[in-house]
Amino acid sequence: MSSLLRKLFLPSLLQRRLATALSLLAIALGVALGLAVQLIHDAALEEFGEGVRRLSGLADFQVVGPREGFDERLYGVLALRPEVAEASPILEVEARIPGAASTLRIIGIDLFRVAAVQPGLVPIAETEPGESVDRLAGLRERNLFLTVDAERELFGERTPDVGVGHREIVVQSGLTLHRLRHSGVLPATGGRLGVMDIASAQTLFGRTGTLTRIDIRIAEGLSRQAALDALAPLLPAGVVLRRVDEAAGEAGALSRAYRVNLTMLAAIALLTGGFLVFSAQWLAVSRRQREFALLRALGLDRRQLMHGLLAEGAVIGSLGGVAGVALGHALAAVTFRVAGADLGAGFFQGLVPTLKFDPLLSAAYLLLGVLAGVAGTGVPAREAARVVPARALHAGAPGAAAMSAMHRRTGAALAALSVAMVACLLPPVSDIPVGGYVAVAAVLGAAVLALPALTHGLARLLARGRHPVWRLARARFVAAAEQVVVASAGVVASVALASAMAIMVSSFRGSVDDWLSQVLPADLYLRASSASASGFLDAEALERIRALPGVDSADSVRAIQLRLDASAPQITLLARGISEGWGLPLVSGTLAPLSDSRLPSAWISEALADRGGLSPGDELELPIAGTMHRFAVAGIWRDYARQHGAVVIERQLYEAISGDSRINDVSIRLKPGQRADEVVGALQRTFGEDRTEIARPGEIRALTLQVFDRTFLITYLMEAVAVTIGLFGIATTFAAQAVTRKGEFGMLRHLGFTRGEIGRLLALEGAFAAGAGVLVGLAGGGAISLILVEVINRQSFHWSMDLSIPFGALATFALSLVALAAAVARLAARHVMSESAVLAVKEDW
Amino acid sequence: MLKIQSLAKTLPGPPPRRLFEDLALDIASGECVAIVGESGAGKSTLLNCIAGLDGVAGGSIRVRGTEICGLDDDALARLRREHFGFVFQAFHVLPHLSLADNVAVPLWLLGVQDRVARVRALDMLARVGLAARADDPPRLMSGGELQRVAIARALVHRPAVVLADEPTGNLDPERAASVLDLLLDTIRDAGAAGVLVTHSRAAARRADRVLALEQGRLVDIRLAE
Repeated sequence: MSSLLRKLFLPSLLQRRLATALSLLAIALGVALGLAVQLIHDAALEEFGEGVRRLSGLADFQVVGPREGFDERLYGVLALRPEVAEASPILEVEARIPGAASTLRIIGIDLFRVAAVQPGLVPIAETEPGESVDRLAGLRERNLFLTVDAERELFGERTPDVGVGHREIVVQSGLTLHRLRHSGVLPATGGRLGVMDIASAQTLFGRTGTLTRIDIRIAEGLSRQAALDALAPLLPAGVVLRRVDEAAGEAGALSRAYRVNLTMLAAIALLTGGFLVFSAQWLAVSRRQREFALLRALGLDRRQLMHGLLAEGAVIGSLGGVAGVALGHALAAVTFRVAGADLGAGFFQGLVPTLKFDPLLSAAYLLLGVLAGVAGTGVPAREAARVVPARALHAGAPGAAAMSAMHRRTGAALAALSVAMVACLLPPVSDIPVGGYVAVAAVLGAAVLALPALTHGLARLLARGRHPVWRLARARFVAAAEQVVVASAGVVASVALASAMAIMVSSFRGSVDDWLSQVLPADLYLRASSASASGFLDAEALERIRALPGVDSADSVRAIQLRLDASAPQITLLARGISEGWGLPLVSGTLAPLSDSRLPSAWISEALADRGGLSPGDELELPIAGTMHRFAVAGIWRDYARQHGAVVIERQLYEAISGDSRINDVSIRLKPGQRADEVVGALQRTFGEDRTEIARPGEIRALTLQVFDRTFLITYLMEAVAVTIGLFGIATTFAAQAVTRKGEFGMLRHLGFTRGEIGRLLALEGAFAAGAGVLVGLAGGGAISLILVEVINRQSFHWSMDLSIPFGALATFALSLVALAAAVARLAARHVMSESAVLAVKEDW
Repeated sequence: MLKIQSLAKTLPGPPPRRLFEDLALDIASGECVAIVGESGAGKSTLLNCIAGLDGVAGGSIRVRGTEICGLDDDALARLRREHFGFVFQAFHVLPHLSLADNVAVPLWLLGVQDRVARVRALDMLARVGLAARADDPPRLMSGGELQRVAIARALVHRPAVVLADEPTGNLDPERAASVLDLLLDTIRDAGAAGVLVTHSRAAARRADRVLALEQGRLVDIRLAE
């Protein structure tokens, strides 16, 4: 077989260089996109996990609770347990630095415990020339030790004339500013963080008596499970014990749905590449029928013929795969350089990992490339092996057999649609909407399978027309549905993908826009920092706001993070007034507290409702201030801000339970006719310009939508690649068909067609083929968008949205694509059109 | 109907070769002329020059009194659609059109109304004996039948000149004779000028005149029985 392969099959790839090159490029792009997404995310996850491991040092377990922390007395309880060899208490704060774009992570450590558990966090004091070493520097108030990265970001590169001790950092706690002294370095740790004494940190940030984490090394010889079993019951509600590896993998769990979504998009680009191989191979097989028939007559058996053709596909796939693996690494490297490890969703902002070559992953993607090549060749190879040699030698024209398969394919399309419908009903697997993805694949398959029958139907609807160019193009479209399938299978897949994403993004954006209108009803919004950072307001500040001239009312929100269990991400508790001030976009239930329940009411987001299977009227338990509290679900609301779930309870109730009267955000309504600028000025004068962030709803809306658009930028790029590959399919098909139709064009030129008219004929045929692909793709895209909106988004991110079809944009896209396809078809056949009509009719066809 | 005077054509080299020199030809309405000659003598090239598909170095070609030398590409295309009919060795029938539509293509190009075009195509198909199969696709036809379709297509728009290049080259001798008779009779009936290029002496004998292309000129010859 190897000499047969070398002499009979592989040279064919070189003969049709354009088709081979485009197929190869399509597979390379599909492989590259998938691999790049995977490489970027793997590197980001590894970097994130590495950061967690570095900070946890030798610890086996972490005790973690809500972001705001838990009672430090738990440290005393755990440290004395025989299961615990060493325990190190931690207070972690995201310190707001006035005027800076980002916060500084400050870790409060117990200098006497940290070396035994997290040696990387041991601070090294630095002294000025001539000063003696201060051995207690790590214990002194307001002394801060920075990593090299943090120092560089805050102060720039070191210069010999400025000693570290002369440098100060201003941080904000509540509305108060504090000066910290840069006292030394953390040589063993990277990342943007600083370390200070835990007691100083507690005092400075108003967190006296609070820890956010305890890192634990268990006693030698004790199994982790035994330690877990012994220690877990000692923890208060909302505080969990988890292995360091679990913590390191948390980012993976948080970003999994987004990563899977991007990988699926890349898979569709690869699938489109597979269709392109199918187009190219189908055409090649059609052209070589007589050659194959002759070989069969000379003794080549069906199996050898099929294997030879599959080998052609494998060669295209392998070369495309190798190119894709190289391109994927290059793409990942460029992304790291330009944008870090974040692909738009914000999970890995600020991380700049190093690109590593992963041989197994690369081999897997190479294999995917080979599979795409072989799968694309499968159908043409089978059809070629089926042809009866005598008939092919005589006529050389396929068609009848292909058309007879149309009915079978329509049946298969209906079966695929049924599979899609059933798959949509399946629940997610580990938060991944596997059923949804199966349904998308089934709908894509159904669209391609139904293409011949739908093309046939569409062709009948076309007016006969009077112009000969139109009539000939129409006649070919009516008679050659199979060739339309070959030309536009890739177009169907890419248009379905692009239109589905367009509908989903439009629905999502429209819903986010509506949602913003509902959740931002006030005139101004004020905060001391984001909820995760160290700025906050208090009741006195709220009263000062209310007392300002021009302010009609001011409502406050306290936002804290709760941990329901060790494996799940944290949810957000919002304590606020319900019926006034901030809006709450309910999708079910009522804003009024439940009157028939003895329990206080809570309003939960869709994510939390999905996660707990909760409906209005159900009971919900929340760990607040170390104890579990029961609530009745009064309503479910739409929340696009917090993917992992949020719950709203009355502020007064929260204060009564927790004693926490801090405020994160204030919504301010102005008196009628009051200018917002004047109130903004008054607020800045009251609190200090640097200490608060004040925004108008329009600014928040613009910023949110900007983040939204950035999140989907990568998906637009991937869609563009898929659509380009689809257009390659049109180009390949028409270039190949043009060669086989040389005689036809020559005859038409003899009959009086001008070159321009033949060009228009080809353009029209390209437009018809692409038009059929686009229409079927749009129909498939409509169905897929429903799956994206109702199944995949719902199961991945728990976001519901109102369907909004961007008719104008879709029509523009469709028409542009058809026009492009027409141009591409004409361009692809240009070399044949320019050939002599005289020579063309001389050749047998 | 077709008048050629002092036609000259040189094939590009290297070295350049003079193909025609002072070539002349005059064909009356209803007359069929066969052109024979050795391979490479320029028979097919002459047809292409007459049809305006190949350029000439000098001389004149007039069809129904219209000079075609010097016309641009589009004008030549318009001239072909009005005044010429073609029959090829390889039939060149469009596979995705019915027989009637294949025959009607030249009428479509001339803007003839659909109904009229269909009637005329059916009439031509009837004259070549294929009226009953007007709506069949070409793939169901034999080679001889396809060439009859090509003949119908060549004459349906009543051209001044019908050019046939080895029209029976792909047919067996028995079928070739009947197709050729049909072609020549139809050309004569239509009052067109027919130019038949062939290697076959048997085919050439059926024409009204036989010309040999020798050393760049056409020479009247009489073929022995």
